[in-house]
Amino acid sequence: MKTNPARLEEVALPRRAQQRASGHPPPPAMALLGCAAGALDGLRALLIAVIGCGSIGGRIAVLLARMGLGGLLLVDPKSYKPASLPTHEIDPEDVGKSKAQAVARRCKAVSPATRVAAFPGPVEALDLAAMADASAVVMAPDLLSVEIEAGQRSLWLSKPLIHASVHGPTLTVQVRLFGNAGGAGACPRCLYGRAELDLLARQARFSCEGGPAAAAPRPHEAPATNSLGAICSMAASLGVLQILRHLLGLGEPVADTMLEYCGFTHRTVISPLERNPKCPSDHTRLGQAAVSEPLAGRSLAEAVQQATGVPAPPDAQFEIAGHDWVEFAGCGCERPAPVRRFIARGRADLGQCPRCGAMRVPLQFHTYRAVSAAILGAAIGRPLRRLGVRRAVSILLRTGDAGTLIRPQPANPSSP
Amino acid sequence: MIPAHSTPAPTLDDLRQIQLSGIYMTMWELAQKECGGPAACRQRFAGELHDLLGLAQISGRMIVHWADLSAGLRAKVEIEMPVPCMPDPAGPLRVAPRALLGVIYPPEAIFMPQPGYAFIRILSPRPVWLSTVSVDPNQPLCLGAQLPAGIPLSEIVLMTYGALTLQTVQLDRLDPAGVLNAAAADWWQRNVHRIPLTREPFLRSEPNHAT
Repeated sequence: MKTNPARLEEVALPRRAQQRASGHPPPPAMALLGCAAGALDGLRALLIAVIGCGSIGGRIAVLLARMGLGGLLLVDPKSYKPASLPTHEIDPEDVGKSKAQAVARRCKAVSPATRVAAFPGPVEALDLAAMADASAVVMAPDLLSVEIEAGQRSLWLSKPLIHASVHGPTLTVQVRLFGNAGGAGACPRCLYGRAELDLLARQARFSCEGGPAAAAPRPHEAPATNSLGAICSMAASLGVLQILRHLLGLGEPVADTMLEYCGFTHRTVISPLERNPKCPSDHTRLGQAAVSEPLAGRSLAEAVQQATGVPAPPDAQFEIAGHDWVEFAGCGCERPAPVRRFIARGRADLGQCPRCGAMRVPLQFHTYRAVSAAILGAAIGRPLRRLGVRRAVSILLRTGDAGTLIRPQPANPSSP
Repeated sequence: MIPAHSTPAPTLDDLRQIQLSGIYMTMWELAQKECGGPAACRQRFAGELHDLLGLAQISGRMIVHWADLSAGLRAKVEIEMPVPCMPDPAGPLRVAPRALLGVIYPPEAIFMPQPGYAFIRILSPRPVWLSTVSVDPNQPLCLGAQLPAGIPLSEIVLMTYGALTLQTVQLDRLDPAGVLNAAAADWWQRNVHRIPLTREPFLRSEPNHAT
C-alpha cells in the first residue's frame, strides 16, 4: 500500500494531439536590437522551473512555451477554485483541476516539442536534483515560506531566481531578479522586515483570487490582494522580459534588481537588491559532481570518494532523492521492528508483521530524510541497491557549511 | 553558572545558565561532536539541547534518555505525568503515569514556521486518548495550526505537558487547529469534569496554585 505523495511526471500529448502537433512553435521572426539574428533560438536549450502556477506563474509558463522553450518544470500543490476565475487564464471547467498539471498540459499543447514536467505538490517535497538542470527558476507563490524555500534552493544551485508579484489595490507589479551568481547577492529572505516576519509566522497567504468568495479572509490569511487579471498579466509579461534580458544578455544587466511598475501612473522604478548580512538563509553554493556508473550500484562511501576525492567525513549527512532512511517500523507489537534501510518516500507500509499480523509502518521518529554517517554506521559502505535503493537520481552530501549534489554521469553527455 | 545549592531554585528563565550534571554534560558533549549541518544550525541545536537537558535537570519529572544532533535534533524524553489512554474503545479511560516522547526538531524549524504536529511523537503509552493525538502508530501530537519559526524546544516540551495532561485543551472538531482524533474530542466534550488530569505545574519546585 502506498500513500499518494505528489510525483514529478512528464506531460505527454494525447495521441490525436500528437498527430496534429508540429514540434516547436516557430521562433519569433524578429531580430532583437543589438543581437545576432536567431538569438531567440537559444531559448530551445533552456529549462526553466516555475514555482507557483497561478495567475502570474501560470501565464509566465505559457508565454515561455509560446517562445519554444526547451523545457519547463511546473510546481504547484493547489487546484483551481471558483474564485480563481477572475484572475487566472482558465475556463469554468478547469475549476478543481491541479494548477501544475493544467498549466503543463496547456504548455505542451502550445509547444509539443517542449519537455514539460508537472509536480502537483509543495516545492519542499520536490527533490533538489529536479531543479539542478534548470537555467533559471521563476517563482510566483502566495506564501512567504515558499519564497524562502525557492530562494534557498536557487542559492544552493546558483540559479537565477525571478520573483514576480503584484499588489492589487495599488496596481503595482514587482519583478525581482536574484542573480545568485557568486553567493554574494541578495535572496528573498534578505529583504524581509518585521512585517514580513510577522506574516511568515502566521503563514499568511497572499491570494490573487478575486470575487466575493475571496472577500472575507479566513484565519491565517492575509486579505486577498484581489488583483485584476490585467495586473497579473502585466506581472507575467514583465517577468518574462526580465528572464529574457538576463538569460540572453539583452540590454543593461538586470541581475539583483527589482523592477516596479505602477498602473496608476504607468511609471517604472528600478532599484538594487542588496544582501542582508544577517540573513539566516544559507548563502553557500553547492558543488556538483558526477559519478561514472548508476548510483544505486555504489555505496555512499564510494560515491563520496569518487565525487569529492576524499572519504566521507564523520559529520556527513546524506539525502537520497525520493528516499528516506528508516531505522524502525511499528506494528501492533510492543517493541518497534528494526528496518535500517532506505524506503521510497511516501511508502506507507513495510509488509505484515509475522508476530502480530498487523502492517508495519515506518515510524516517523526513526525516519530521516537527511541521514548522518553516524546513524548509518556500517551501512555507509554497502551498495545502495542492497539498502533498498533501486534507482538513485542524486545524492545530496552535506558536510558542515559545504555541500555537493552527486549525480550519475549521463550515458550520452550530449543528450539534453 | 548556578551553584548547586543556590536559592531561589533555577527557573525556566535560567535554562541557558544551568551547569549540566555529569551524565547530561557527557550526553551534550557527545551530541555536539557529531553535530552536522551549517554553523548556524549547529550552534542553535547545541543551545536547544542544552536547554532540554537543563529542563530535565530542574524539572523533577523529566529524563532525557537519548539525544542526537547528527541530522537535526532528535531526543527521546520521558516525562512523569498523567496521560489518558483508551485501550478498549468501549472500556474505561486508563491514565498512564508517564509518557515517552520522540522529539524531532528539524533544521528548517529554525527559520520557518512549522505545522503543530511536526515536533512530538508519543512513543508510549498507546493508544493515547486525546483529540490532539492521532490514532496512527506514530501518535503525533498537534500543538496548534502553526508554531512560529525558531520556537524554543523547552517551550514545545511545556506545551506538550499542558496538552497531555489536558491543562490546555482543544475539543472543537470543526477547528482545524489541532483535532487529530474526532472521536476523542467528542468523548472529552462529554467528560469535561475529568479535565484537567492534574493541576501540577511542570516544574515540581514551583508552587501549585490550584484551588
